[in-house]
Amino acid sequence: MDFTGESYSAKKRESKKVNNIFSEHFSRKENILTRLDARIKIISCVTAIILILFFHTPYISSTVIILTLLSLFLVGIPLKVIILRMSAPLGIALVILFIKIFFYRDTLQSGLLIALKIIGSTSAMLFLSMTTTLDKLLTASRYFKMPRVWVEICLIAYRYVFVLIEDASTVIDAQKVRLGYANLRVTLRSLGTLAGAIIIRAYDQSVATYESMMLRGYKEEGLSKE
Amino acid sequence: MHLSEGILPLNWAGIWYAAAIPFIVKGIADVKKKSVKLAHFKPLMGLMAAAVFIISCMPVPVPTAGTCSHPCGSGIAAILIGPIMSILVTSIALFIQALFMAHGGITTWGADIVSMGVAGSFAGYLTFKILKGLKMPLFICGFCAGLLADWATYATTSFELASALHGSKPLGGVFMAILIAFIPTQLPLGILEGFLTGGMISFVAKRRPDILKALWEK
Repeated sequence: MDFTGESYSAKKRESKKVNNIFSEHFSRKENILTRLDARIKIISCVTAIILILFFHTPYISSTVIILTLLSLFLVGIPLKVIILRMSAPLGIALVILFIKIFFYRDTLQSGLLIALKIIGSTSAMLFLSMTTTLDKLLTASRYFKMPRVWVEICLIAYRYVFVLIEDASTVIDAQKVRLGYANLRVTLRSLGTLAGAIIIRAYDQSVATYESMMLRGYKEEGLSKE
Repeated sequence: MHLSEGILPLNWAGIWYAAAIPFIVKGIADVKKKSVKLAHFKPLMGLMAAAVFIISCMPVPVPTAGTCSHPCGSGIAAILIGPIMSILVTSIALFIQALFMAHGGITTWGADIVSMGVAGSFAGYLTFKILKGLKMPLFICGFCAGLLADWATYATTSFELASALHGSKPLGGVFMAILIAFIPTQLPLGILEGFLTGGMISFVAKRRPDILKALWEK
């Protein structure tokens, strides 16, 4: 392992890049789309996805993709971030296209249609996640009668995903300096230890979180019902 | 193993939603009951969902099947907190992944809960219980639970994909073709998940047996 300053800064930059892609970096910015009521955005996106899946035409998917790209550019989200977020579904769409044509011996048109449906409906979801924070989405989901317990657990999970990622990264570094992951046998043992360490950390954190929630006056009613 | 947004026709998306909802409803009812016995149960479920999220967000593309593959994590959750709670935390991990990482989707959420949550959790939990009942070493119980949870998830995902995409072709043939297509990644990934689960449970049992005692207490 290289612990030089340069390598450390490179690692930090890489980690910041990952956080920008995954976290709410863009949805927390102040702009016309982030100010829009989350309920309106949820209804629009779900309607768009239903229309894409219901009608067997490429026009709806294409319109949704163009509208998503235009609106995301409008609020200053870089194309690179959009492509990175869309990389998994883009890859899947291409593979489905390939399978449809060469494996199922389907027409090119039918393959393109399903590929467009995947990209179109994923871009509707991308619009939602790039312009709405999870807390706003979950508060809005209460309006659509999502169970309160589920919403509460989801908020706690999202809060601690980043904490556990940091912890896992620290454990991996500690394992590496102790010659963990040196060969296949040691790697398998290191992975088991890592998973165990994450579970122990998760358990201890849940006790600490509960205590701090109680200290701050948490009651079982939890979130307000709006 | 997430089915991408837009891959399932609406009728199939609805069927998988209908199959997943009863487990979620039961899970929510159980959280309320278990919170009485273990005060920090709700935050614990949140943290478990975060742990499942981390384990299951390392996608490995499967070029021959058109999906991404990865360790499931639902086997680990199932042996610690039981299958129903594991389904609940898996639903949360899948929701966050669908929204913020474009892994899975909202229309495929039900199908993903059934494959990763229901099939994975029950396969892992039952395997662990049976082997533990036979007094097998804890690592072996965990290894087999992780392995079978992963393979049950991939078999269910293959069926979901085949049922949605087979068209005029026979369902059985398409199912077998997708199942075979998954083998290059899922066979080693299942073994990896076995070691992950076995190592996890023996590590926790050695270092913090109090956690297992608290979680497994009736």
